[in-house]
Amino acid sequence: MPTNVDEPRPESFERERATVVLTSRLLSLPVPLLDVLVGAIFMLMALFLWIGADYIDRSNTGLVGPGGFPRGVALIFGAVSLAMALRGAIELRSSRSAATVEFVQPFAVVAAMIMVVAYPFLLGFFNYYLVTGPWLIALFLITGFRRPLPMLLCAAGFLVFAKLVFEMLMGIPLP
Amino acid sequence: MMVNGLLSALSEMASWHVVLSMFAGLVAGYCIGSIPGLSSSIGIALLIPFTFAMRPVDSIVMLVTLYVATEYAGAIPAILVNTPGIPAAAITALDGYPMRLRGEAGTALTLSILSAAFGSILSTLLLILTSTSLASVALAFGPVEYFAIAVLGLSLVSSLSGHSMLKGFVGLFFGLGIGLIGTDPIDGVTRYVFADSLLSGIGFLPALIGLFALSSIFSMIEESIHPVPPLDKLPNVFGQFGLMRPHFWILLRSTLIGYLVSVVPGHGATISAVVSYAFQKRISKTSETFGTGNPEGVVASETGGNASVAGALAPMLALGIPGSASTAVLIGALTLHGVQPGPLLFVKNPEIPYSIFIAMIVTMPFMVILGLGGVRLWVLVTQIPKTVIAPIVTALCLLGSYASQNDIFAMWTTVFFGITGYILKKIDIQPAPIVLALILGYLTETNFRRALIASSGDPMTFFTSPISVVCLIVAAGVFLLPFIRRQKPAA
Repeated sequence: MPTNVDEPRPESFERERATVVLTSRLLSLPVPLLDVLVGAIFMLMALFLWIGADYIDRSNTGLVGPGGFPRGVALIFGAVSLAMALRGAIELRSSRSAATVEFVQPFAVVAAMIMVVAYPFLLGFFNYYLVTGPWLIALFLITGFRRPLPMLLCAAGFLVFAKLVFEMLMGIPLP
Repeated sequence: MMVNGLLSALSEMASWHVVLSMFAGLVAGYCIGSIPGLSSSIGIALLIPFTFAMRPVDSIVMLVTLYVATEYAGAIPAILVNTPGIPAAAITALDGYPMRLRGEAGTALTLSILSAAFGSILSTLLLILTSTSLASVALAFGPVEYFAIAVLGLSLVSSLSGHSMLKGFVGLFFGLGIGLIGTDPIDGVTRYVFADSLLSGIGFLPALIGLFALSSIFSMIEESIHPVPPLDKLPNVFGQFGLMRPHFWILLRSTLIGYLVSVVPGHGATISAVVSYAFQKRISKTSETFGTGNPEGVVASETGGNASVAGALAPMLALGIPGSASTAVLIGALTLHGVQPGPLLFVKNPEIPYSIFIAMIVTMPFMVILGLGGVRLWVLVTQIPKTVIAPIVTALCLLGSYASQNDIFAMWTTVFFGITGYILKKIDIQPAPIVLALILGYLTETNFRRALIASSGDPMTFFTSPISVVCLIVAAGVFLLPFIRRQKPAA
C-alpha cells in the first residue's frame, strides 16, 4: 500500500524514503519509479496492439472492421500509460519526497513466485501427485510453517481431496 | 413473466442437489469470510471450478449463497479480533470490537447476524421488484443501447479504481487490451494469437483466479509474519431476538441506503456500509458514543453492507453489468455455464434469476442458525495461521485453473495474472477495473460494430436513442465527476 505523500516528515527521513531499500525483511521502492517502469511496459504493449491491428485489418475497413476497436484501445492505452510514466518521472525529478511501496518479506514472496512459475513447468514432465506433494511442502517452508507432521498431513490431505473431488467426483483427469 | 419464472425456478430447485449446494455455499462462505485476506470475490473465483459438473441452477445457488454468507462472516473476526474478514467489516469493527472488549461479544455477534439477515431479506424483495421491471424495459434494447450501457459500465472504473483515477484507466485499458486476444467476435479473424490455446481468447476463469486469488496469496505471505491475534475466551451467542426491537427503524433505513447505494454499479458493500454507518451516526441521539461500542453502529453497518449484495445483483441480472467485483466474477461463472446475464436472461433462462431470489430468502434462516450455532467453529477458523492458508489456497488456485480448461496453459494464465495483479496492486492499480474490462470489452466492441454496420458507418447513430443518450451523458458525468471534485478545493 503506498504511504501518504502529504504527511509531513523530517527531512532526513524523506531522503531515506525516496531511495530503494532492501533488507531481508523489507524491500522499499519509490512509487514513481514503479509508475515509470509499469508505464513503459504498458506503452510497449499498446505499441504491440497498434502494430498488430495493421496485420489484422489489411483492407483497412475503419471502425467497423476487426482492427478498428484494437486501434482505439491501443491509442488510449498508450496515452494513459504515457501519462502515468510521465507523472512518475516528474515526481522522481522533483525534490518532494515520494511515496513508497513496501514489499514485506521480499525473499519469501519471490521464492513463492518462483515456485508458482515452476509448478506448471514441472507438470509438463511429471505426474500431478508426484509434483504437488513436495511442491506443497516446499511452499509451507517458504511461508514459514515449520511443523513437520501437520505439514505432511495437509499435503497428503490436499492430494486426497484432489483425487476424490476433481478426479473421481467431477471426472477431470489431472495431468 | 414473474409467475412463470417463479414456477420454473421452483421446479428446478425441488431437488436435493440444490439444498446440498446451498449448504456447501453457506459453509464455504462462512469459512472464507472468517479468514482475513479472503473476500467474496476470491471465494467465488475459487469455488467456480467445483461447479463445472453441476447444473447452472445448482451452481449459481451455491455461488450466490457463498456471496451472502461471506459478506456476513467478515464481521466475525472484525468483532472478535479487530481484523475484518472482508473490507466492509472494518466499519463493523469500529463499534463491534469495543463491545467485545467490554465483554459484550455475544451481543455484538447476535446484532450483526440478525441485522445482516434482515438487510438481506428486505433487499432481496427490493431486488425482485427492481430487476424484473428493469429487465422488461431493457428487452427493447438494440446494439446502440447495449453499447451505451457497456460504456456506462466501463465508466464506473472511477468508483472501482483505488486512489488514482489515472491508474484506474490504465488498469481498464490493460484489461481491454488483454480482452482483444482471440477470435474477432464479428468477422472471425484471429487477433494477437501467438499460441493455439489463445484461439478462443484469454481464459476468463484462470485470469480471475490469478487476479483476485493468487495475487492475494502473495500479499498474505507478506502478512504471515504477523501472528493471528489469539482469542482467550470463546463468546456465548444465544440469538436473543429481543435485542433487535429497539433498532427496527435503523434496520429499515440502513437496508434502503445499502440497497440504493449498491444498485449503482461499482458501489459495493464497503461504500454501502460506510454510508449507512455515517447516516446513522449523524441522526443518532447517542452519536458521540459511535466508535466506542455503540450497538447502533454495528446494526447500521451490517444491515447496509449485507443489503448491498442484492443491490449489486440488480444491474447484473437486468443489464448484464457487474454491480461489484463479486458480481463481475458471478457473471464469469454464469457465462462458463452458457448463461448470459442481461434482460434476455429473464426470458431465455427465467429459472436462473428466480432461483437466485428464492435461494437468497430461503438461505437466510439457515444462515442465522449456522452463524449463531456455529460461532465457536468460525472463531477457530479465524485462528488458522496464514502460513497454512497461503500454500493450500495457492494449490487450490492452480488446480481450479487447470480444471477450468483441462489444459496446463490455463495455469500459466493464472500465474501471469497472479504475479501481474500483485505488482499492479502495489502501485494502486486494482484488479476490479481489469476484470470489468475483460467482461465488458466484448459487449462494447460487438455492439459498437453491430450498430455501425446497421447504420452504414454513421457514428451519429449512438445519439438517436434517448436511452443511449442518457447512458452516454451519465457515463461522461461519471468519468468527469472525480476531476470536477478534485478541481473544487483548488479553486
